[in-house]
Amino acid sequence: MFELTLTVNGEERVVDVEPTKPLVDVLRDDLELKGTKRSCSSGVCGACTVRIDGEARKSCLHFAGSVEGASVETVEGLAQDDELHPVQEAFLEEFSFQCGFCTAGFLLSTVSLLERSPNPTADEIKDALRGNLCRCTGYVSIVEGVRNAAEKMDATDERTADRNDWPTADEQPGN
Amino acid sequence: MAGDGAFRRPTDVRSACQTLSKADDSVVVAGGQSLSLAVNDGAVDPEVFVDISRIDSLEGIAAEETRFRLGALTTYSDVETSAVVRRRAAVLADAIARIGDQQIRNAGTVGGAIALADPSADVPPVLVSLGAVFETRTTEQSRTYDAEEFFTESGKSVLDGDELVTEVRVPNVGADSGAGFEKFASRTNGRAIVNVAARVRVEDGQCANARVCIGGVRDRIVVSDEAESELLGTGLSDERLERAGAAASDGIQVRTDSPATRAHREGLVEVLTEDALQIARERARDGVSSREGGNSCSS
Repeated sequence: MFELTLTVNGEERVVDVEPTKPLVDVLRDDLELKGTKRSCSSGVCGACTVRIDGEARKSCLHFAGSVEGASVETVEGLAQDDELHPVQEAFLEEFSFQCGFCTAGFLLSTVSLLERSPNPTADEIKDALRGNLCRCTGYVSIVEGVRNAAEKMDATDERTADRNDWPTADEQPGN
Repeated sequence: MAGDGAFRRPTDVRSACQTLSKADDSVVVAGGQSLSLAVNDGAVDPEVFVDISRIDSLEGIAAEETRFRLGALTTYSDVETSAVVRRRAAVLADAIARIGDQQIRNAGTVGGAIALADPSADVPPVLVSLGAVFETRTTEQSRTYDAEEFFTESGKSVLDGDELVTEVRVPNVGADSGAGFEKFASRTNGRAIVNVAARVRVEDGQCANARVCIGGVRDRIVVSDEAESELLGTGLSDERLERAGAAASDGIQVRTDSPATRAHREGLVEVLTEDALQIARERARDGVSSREGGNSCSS
């Protein structure tokens, strides 16, 4: 066991854990932050996606010992006081979820994407979200949620992706 | 239980090598994207984990006149977004952009990919085709290896127990050369069933040098002499590329049968070799030279 110090959603947290404990379990079990989900446990589905030092990462693939001292953002950190993050608002408006199990992961991946690329094309969105799988929605509403969020967060109202550019069944992320 | 080993986080290469040499059974943690799965499955259970992610000297991409250098901790996304790599060896960025997904590429490292020596991985055949050189360090000394001699049988490498990959040196793909990569996986960006990295150099309209490196067909990367001999001294016509693909396929002994059959892999070798060579040929013909001085690969 070792003393792990992490900044989680801006707050310093200290817990005693085994150094090879996966970060997803540290978040859920030691820090009681249940928003991040464990699903495939094999680094494929992305339900465990968080941001570590500003980058989208799969928390099931990170050892506690490897993230000592890092800054971690989870879904719980997106809303500020009573205000939802624009990405959360956008996902609500576009109904970019059904069961919601994959949603936390998609939100964090989207936050990272829009930081990198504020006006992403449909292809950029699909590529950026390739590591997040959804079994419910069929992805179209998720892509619309991302584009809505981009509009909310970007100064201009210009859509770079045409409505006809929606992914077809063959092109959906995760396929 | 797996993962009970001691966990060390050295901040310099010397300490890392010393820690590795002291334990009989130690493993290096870089990006951890492959290792964490193996530990969670119980497949890997070392005495000591040596996490090298705090070693600053292993970071960074450095441009030199005829080559560029990647620190072992250079992540896949560092490579993907590097103007230096795009300009001097775009094929490496192409291959890496097709690995996994953004989250995995944010964490996975070039040094880790090399040390893992997975015979189906995408980075090693590209580095072999480019004639890359790997620098390593042990407690005693610094060593260098040509990429082609680094990967041995059974998905292993020449690394000793206390030996750490520190840097990858990649010669610029010159204006007279071109390199391409193709892979086939059952999921987009998934683990390759077969992958091919090809490089050609053209002099006076004729192929002066060629290298075709194939992964996913057995326990090590295959460098296809058969494909090479179809290409050398030729004008790299479509027909020649087709013949090179067929020769590559005939020349290999596919030893893996699952999840794709031998016959399937042989077919893939033929098609992917041709496709990778087409990319390489077009890039060689385009003759775009690297701005910092594109001397051609000499090997």
